[in-house]
Amino acid sequence: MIEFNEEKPIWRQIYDLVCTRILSGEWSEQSRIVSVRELAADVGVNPNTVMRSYEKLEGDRIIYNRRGIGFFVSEGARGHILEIERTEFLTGELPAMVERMRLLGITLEEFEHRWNQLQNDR
Amino acid sequence: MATINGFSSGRVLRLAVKHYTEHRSAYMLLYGMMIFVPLLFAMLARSASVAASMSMAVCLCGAFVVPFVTMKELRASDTKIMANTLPVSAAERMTFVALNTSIVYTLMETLCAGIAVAAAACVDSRGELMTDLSHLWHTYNGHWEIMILVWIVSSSNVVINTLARKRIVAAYVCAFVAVMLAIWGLERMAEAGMMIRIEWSERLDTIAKTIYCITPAGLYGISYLLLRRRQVKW
Amino acid sequence: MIDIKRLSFGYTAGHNVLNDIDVLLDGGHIHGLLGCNGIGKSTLLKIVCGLMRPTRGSVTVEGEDPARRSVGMLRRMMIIPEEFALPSVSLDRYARLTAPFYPSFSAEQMTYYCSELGVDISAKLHNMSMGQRKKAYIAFAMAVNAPILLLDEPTNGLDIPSKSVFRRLLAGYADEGRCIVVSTHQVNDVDSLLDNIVILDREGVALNATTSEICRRISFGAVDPARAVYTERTVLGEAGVAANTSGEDSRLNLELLFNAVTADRRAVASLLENR
Repeated sequence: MIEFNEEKPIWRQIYDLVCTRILSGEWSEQSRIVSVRELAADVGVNPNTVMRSYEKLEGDRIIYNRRGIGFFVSEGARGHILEIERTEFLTGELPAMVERMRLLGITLEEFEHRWNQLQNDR
Repeated sequence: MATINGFSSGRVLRLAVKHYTEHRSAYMLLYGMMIFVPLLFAMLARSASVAASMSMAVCLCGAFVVPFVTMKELRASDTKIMANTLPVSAAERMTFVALNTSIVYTLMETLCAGIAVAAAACVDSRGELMTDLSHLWHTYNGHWEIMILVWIVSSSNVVINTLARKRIVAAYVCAFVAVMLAIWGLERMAEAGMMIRIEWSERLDTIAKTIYCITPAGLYGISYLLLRRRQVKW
Repeated sequence: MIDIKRLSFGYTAGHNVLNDIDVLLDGGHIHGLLGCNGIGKSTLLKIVCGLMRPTRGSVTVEGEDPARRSVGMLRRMMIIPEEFALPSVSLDRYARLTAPFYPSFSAEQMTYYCSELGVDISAKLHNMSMGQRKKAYIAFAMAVNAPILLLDEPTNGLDIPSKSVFRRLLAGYADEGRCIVVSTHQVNDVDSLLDNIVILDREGVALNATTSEICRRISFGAVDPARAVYTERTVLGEAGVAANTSGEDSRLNLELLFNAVTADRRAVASLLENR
């Protein structure tokens, strides 16, 4: 039986929250984002947890820290995020989806057909 | 103000303000009764001097109530945690307790007695206000021993309030019974000739009076030491 | 900041409520003090405040013995008890009477907390419902800005929106130099706030670990029953607690963790030890 985490750890959810805000344009590149304490107080999460998320974001070059001033969105952050999420999708969600398709007996043709339908709807 | 942990009279004063504000209804009731009860008796007897003597009795009863009210917040289960963690030292708190149950109390009950007597004089069949007030004055001030006695009762009750666990009334009753038994026991011993004969002299009299006067201070001091070591278990 | 060494305590001789408690609660964290009802969490908090002395062992708060109840120490500590009465004055008045004893108090902050929590600063405290009174005192206590904040069942009596506001305010209160201890059995109310978990049971400290350690070593939820150290039936099926071998942090489930520790503390402890 595969072990999986039913929900993501909180620090991960904060990480995703920051990424979402950057992708949506709410936080634009080179602009300052809320401090660790402000975000913690905003969502009701321990500041150490938020700090951990920020450290990971920094490590993934999505944000950077200017000492004494705060955290800023890195240049090219949107690109980084999309890249990371693409990789996550291709290595995680996609194989799971393909496995499920195989289980349900959905063929590539059926998939392509539905894909085209959805593209036309947009 | 001195250093943080040193004695601060400012803190004592602020403690007084906080205590009186938060317990104003209890004190108004107490001092109100100290006017009303003697006045009632005086009206029934149509004599202002009854007001004076009832004031004396009520004053003694009050010496049981004031220590209780002063220390209630330190003992009651729903207030004790917050009261005992208030940033005041045991010395500062006991200073307030001592002042409230001795000097403040004496001033207040003298005032209440005066009011009761003055009011009673209005209904007195004799209508001799000044005589009654001077009678009252003499009762109190001519006999400083009475004031000291009230203070001894007050300070003893402070000790009881500091020591007792939950049932304060039971503690008071036990203490009272203990004192009565002790007096009875001493009398029996005296009758049986078991007591040492002491030659009563002027000097002994002075010593006795001195001990009598410093007893309240001594009892407050004991309460302070007990308060310092006190655990808020019950 | 709060160092508890081999502490035992009993209200009466021979019957200990707390046994051999050994834990360091340092600043910069929000510690969760968990345990069944009656296990002695409130008692432990009272000892930390200096209201009682340990029967055995010791406790020091910032290097000082709390039982001495020095003014300097009391000013730096604030406890919000589980049940309490407040005098018949308004919160405004109460603050004006009590704040002078706490130099670090900020009236501005209290006003802010009151507006967030929905507390009327001029209403008589005496007449408020339990929940409102709690919120009023929480607003005052947090405005004191004490470095050590002890909360005993803070969410008891709070309605759901208030619990959420409380979480946000407490998250904002947390700081490098502050030690916050939340004692509760309502684990779900505070799980996003805690970063260090201390679980007490009859034998003493059953668990003392940071949430990141726990999430790294332990998995919760749909785990292989053969490898689980604890399982229970839930609405969605069997849920369990097992070693985390996925290499990824798990999502902490405090309720499951607590139940697992209650059932078999050694098994859970071993998951944290192996490496």
